[in-house]
Amino acid sequence: MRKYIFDWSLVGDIGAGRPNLGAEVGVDIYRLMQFTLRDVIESRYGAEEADSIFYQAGKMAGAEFYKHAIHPVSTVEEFVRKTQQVLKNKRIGVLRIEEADLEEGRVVLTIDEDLDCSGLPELDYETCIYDEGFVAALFEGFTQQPWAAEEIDCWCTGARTCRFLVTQG
Amino acid sequence: MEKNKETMAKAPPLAPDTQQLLEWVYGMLTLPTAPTTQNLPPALLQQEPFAALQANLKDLREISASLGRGELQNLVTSKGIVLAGLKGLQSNLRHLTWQTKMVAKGDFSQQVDFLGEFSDAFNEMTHKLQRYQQQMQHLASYDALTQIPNRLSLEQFGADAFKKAQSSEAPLSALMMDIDHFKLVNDTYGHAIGDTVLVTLAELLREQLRISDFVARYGGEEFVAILPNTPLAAALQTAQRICAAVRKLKVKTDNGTTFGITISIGVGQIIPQDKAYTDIIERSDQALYLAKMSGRNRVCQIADGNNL
Repeated sequence: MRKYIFDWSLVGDIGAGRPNLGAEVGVDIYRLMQFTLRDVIESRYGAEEADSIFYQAGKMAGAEFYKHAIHPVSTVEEFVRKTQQVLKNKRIGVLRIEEADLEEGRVVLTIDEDLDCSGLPELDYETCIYDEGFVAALFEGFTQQPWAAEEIDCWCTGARTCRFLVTQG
Repeated sequence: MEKNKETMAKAPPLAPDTQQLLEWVYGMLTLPTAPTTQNLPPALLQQEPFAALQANLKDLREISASLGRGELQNLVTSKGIVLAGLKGLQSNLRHLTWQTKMVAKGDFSQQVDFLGEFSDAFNEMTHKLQRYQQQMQHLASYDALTQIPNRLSLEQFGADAFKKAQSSEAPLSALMMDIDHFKLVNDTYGHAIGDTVLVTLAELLREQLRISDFVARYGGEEFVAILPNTPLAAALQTAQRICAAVRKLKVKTDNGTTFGITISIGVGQIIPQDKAYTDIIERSDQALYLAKMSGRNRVCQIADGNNL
């Protein structure tokens, strides 16, 4: 039996629930939860399946986030501007666009100071799988078309920003 | 430096394989044409770390050359801290390109914060462009003398108001106003006083109309007001009120004396046959003509194309 089918109400009434501590929590705590969860999922299902689960979870989060924090926007410029503002205000990261051709279905963007990975130990692979799903879902929300996102540079691979190639289809 | 050279001269010779590898790496970093690997030991070429080093150096050469030529499209795939610096610069320049395109589209909110002094220059340029654009927009939309909207603005407002009135079946009226004997004012008191009359009347019209109404200088001594959501009867009342307020105006001359002016107003409203807001203006103009012909300093109307 399912216990938690996601619904935005699960975010809760934070104002009522945390009148003294407020809505914010440290990045370290966010990462503690994400990477312990990742550890358990990976040890139980393997790295590939864990990647898939994180990508899908990111997509679900991105879709809900688009609906509740970004929609409605009408033009590409407005979509980009609003997303930049919201991601910055929520302290998720600093979004910047390198190229954006939605008609051709190709976008290259970067996220500086990314919530998931900035400051992590350096590895030889990209780690922001959850972000990939999240970013893809933002574009799906705006265009109502399927999109995929791939991280092509990451803090963990030596870059000082996360770079995503987002493509339609 | 000299000591280093001495130390190096005394260093034992390297194994030939190592010497060749060093020369190859140095060549990859310095030569205009990438050196081949044919002199390197075949066993080395099969090593995974060597393949990684070769790919990294190749990408380093590529991105460095691309940046040198000002080409920003070459996205290399190798990782690492050295390439990251160049990729970061490439990324910043690509951001800047995109932001510049946005500025060209009129989005002056674009700000740069990643290229030192250049960022300051870019941001200052954006601010200045925004100010110039606002000034240009003002110049293009407002009458320089009276500082109320000009005929171009009237066309935009009129077209929008007409579309809204048609879709919502709401009333829409227009007033066409003309200062009586304005030429005589200019001839008697001079053009500077004539200008004062125009400015004073524009201020009065702004005061007499609602925020939702729109008034523009139509040309010369003619003014037009568009009154959304206003039926003919209410528009006539507004016109009468304006006429009465103008009668009370006192314009000062250079020698301190004052004189009064009057205006004539033609009123028209939207009718089902209208195709554009200009149809209402045309009827208002016909009504204005009637007002002039019947003695000036009065309000006349034309409804449904007939003189009422």
